[in-house]
Amino acid sequence: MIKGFTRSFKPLELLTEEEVESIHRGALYVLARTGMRVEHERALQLCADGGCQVDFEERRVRYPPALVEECLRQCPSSYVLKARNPDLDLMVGGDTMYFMQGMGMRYLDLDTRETRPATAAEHRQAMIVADALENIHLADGVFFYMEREGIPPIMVMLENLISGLRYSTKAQQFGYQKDCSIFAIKIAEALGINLDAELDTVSPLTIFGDTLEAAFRYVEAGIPIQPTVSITMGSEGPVTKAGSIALSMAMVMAWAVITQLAKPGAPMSVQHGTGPMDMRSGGVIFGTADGALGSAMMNQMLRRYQIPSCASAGFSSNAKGIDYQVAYEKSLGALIDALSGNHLQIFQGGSRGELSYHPVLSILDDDVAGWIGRFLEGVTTTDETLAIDLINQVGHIPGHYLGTAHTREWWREEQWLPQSADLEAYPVWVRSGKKDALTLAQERMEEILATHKPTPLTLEQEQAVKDILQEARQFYRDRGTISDREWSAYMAAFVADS
Amino acid sequence: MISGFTRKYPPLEILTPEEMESIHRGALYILQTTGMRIEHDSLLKQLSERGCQVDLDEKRVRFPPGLVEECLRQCPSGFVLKARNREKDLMVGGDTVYFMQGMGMRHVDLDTWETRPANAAEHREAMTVADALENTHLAEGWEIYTERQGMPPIMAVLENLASAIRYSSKTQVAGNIQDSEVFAIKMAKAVGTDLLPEIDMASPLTIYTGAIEAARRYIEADIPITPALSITMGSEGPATMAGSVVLAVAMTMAWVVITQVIKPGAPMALHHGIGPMDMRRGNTILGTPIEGLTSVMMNQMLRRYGVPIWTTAGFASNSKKIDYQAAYEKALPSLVSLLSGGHVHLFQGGSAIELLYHPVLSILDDDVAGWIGRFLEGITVTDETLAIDLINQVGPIPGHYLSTAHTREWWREEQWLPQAADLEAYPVWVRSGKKDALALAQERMEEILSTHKPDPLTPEQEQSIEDVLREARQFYRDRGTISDAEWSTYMQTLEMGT
Repeated sequence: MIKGFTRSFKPLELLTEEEVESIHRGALYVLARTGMRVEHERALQLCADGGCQVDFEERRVRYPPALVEECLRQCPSSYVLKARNPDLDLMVGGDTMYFMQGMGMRYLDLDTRETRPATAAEHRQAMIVADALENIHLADGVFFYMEREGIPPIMVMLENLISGLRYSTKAQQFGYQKDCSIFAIKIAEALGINLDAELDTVSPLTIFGDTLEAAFRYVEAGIPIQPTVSITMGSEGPVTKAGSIALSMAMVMAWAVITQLAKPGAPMSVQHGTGPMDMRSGGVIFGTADGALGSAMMNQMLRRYQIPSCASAGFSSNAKGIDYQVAYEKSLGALIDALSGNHLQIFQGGSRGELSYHPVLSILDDDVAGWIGRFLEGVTTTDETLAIDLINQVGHIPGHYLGTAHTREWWREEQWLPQSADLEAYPVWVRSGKKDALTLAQERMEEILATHKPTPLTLEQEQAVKDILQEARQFYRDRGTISDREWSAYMAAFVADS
Repeated sequence: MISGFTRKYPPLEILTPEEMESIHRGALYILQTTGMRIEHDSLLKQLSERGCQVDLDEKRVRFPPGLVEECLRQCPSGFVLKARNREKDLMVGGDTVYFMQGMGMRHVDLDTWETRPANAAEHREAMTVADALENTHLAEGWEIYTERQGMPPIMAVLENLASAIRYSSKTQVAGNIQDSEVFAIKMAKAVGTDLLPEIDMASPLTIYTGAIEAARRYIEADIPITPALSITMGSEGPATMAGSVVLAVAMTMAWVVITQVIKPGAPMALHHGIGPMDMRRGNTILGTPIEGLTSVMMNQMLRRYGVPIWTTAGFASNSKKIDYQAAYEKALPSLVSLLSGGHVHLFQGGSAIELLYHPVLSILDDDVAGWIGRFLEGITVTDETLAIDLINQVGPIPGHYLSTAHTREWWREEQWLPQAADLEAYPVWVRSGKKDALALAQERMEEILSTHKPDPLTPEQEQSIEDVLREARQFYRDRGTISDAEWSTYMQTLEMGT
């Protein structure tokens, strides 16, 4: 099991107990009075059987507070994510935080800062780097490079998942899209892993049919689900943070009811993101203090219910390149999430809205993740670390601590250094060619690609995933989801790659 | 008065009450058994009269715990800092955070990233920008550009202070170098501003004559002092965080006793920075999580005593550029320092250890300050912001919040945007020349310099400043601190006005 980072002090709490209670009761009231639009017959029936008031024509479910609270209590506080390599399993929950590879639709060209669909080689390289980085605990091969050269959109998630599994032995995130869940479950079973399965909620107060179909499949297959509750404040939710959090919690509660009615004790976590839009331009903006405030509140609310939290403040920036702005917009949000008690943090490598990804950025972000993790681990206060007797021995100047046994013994333990940062003294830096962190990260990427060899799939596993992929291709081809033109480009891309 | 940012929720704490007690008692024990070396005979006599055990030969003072705790209780929890423009007064203490202009010895060239001494115009521009930045609450003209072209070192700080007073009406920082405080106090009195002077101390457990002399002069002029406690772990203090913090608390206690013995009820703040060195390179390194952790520990201890706090974690990065690394190494330690109760935070514009300053960096840092400040202000949970009735009215999809009265009424209040960040959508960004935050900050600097006019000095004030400078020049010339060669270069520099 990967230990991750364990917070050794109380979480940061922004809301008073009374405020937490107001949000809780507000959300219960919204669910009882307005309820959710749930576009799935089986889910509606399940809710009706469970005691909800269901309008089958309007597809509306209204939830009695007692049922909601019972289901919240029934949600497990933790769950295991099984990796291909069992040493890399995760135990999600408690005071432990794991960092998760970030997401971004397209490949970022570092020279022009423009983006384009990624190739198979670029996806592979990004995965190898993610496999090597010590602070990426959960891999997410699926949600980066969702635009792939020559691959029809419907096949990208599965192709990315396979590439993710081939080039990393870490646990993997997945999603759902037009029945992809069928094949993802087969892949997971073939490799003896599970997946963290992300499922969309549509704000306000709506869950679509294909989402629920996937949810039922995953829950039945024993795969933990991760409903996402993402609200752009002022359009998808109230413009006030308190209002958007109350709305988010109502949707979280609705998911808890569906999950627990489907299978009592089934694990779920909640992925959340509450961010503002730029009212002047209408664009969504990332990495602001507003998003971090929303995220800290969600973490606090989810801890009340002991539902694991997958937080995303800091998962992206508005900046297009790798610069000062991307660093503060990403790192501040992630630090707030960590301090306020999240469990999974979407982080390394993604930027520019959700639109770009680059392994060099994942390397730099990995240092920020290490920084945050080291901070969470806190301080050790014992007689030996307090060192009162030593302080009395060393006395005043010219006394110093350089040659003491205590320094020799402790410095490694009490020191943390980033891997790809410029730490040189100024004259050394000038002499050695003025290398900055970006250059150092590029060098590190080259080194990783030259030396890091992820454990390959066994021959049987490789054959199994190939068969499943082949089955999926045929399935979507037969269904007409892949057009003739897409199909021939797709086949050509394979020839080019091999 | 500048209201600054007020933290609206309990501070981040990483020490348990028992750990705080161990640190407190450890520090008292060190002061009683080993004590401090204080190189100032008349103060030693005063301390002896108050019950300390003093060895005049060794210049050693041992402090009885009763006296230390009495003085800690006597130390005021806050103080007013008058500004030249009284609307810019500060009330330091409580749950309020003020950001202070950063420091850096030399000017950096943004093309070559090399540094050099600054000229008068560059100092003026840096101060004009600092005066204009809304999140820079306290000016630090004294320690930006301490290397000035054509100026003897001893006069650079005083020339800097004069320039800072001329081009910013905010409260100013000062220090103590070879009696320079005498002239700093005169300038401050001439224009009716307070100063926040930084007084050096030497770790372990030593205070030199000049520091005590300066402290006495400032206290007698009713100016609050800030002893500056800087410890490099493993050389100036134990290699462990807990050990260096206990040592720092002992030195803090000694200063509180000194201040209260010189003048009961005299206000002071404590300036702290405790971090590791890079044992492999032998360098100082800044901006690590270790520095963040010690900063939070110190804040927690100082809040226990009610001693106002000047935090420095995050004042500089190791990076020599304005890049990804500079941003996270500055932003992350700053965020934890301010979540945990720092009152005045050294921040905008400095980097590369303490080597460089640039107004463009101060503009970018000002956005980080705004981010942190907005986060500190927290969230408002009321019936109106919770908006439960609105959520019920809007209902599920296709309901949305875009055109509601609630959104129109609240969005400005709930939204925070940085001033010099790229927030454009991708196509707009490409069309408008791919401007990044650095380019936007450069444009903002040009705009500030062409439009912002700092409150001018009156002709009398201007004359007084000039008189004090002339007196100081003569004083150091007569004392031999300025050599003949330095003097003639200096006179030429002043004539040229650069």
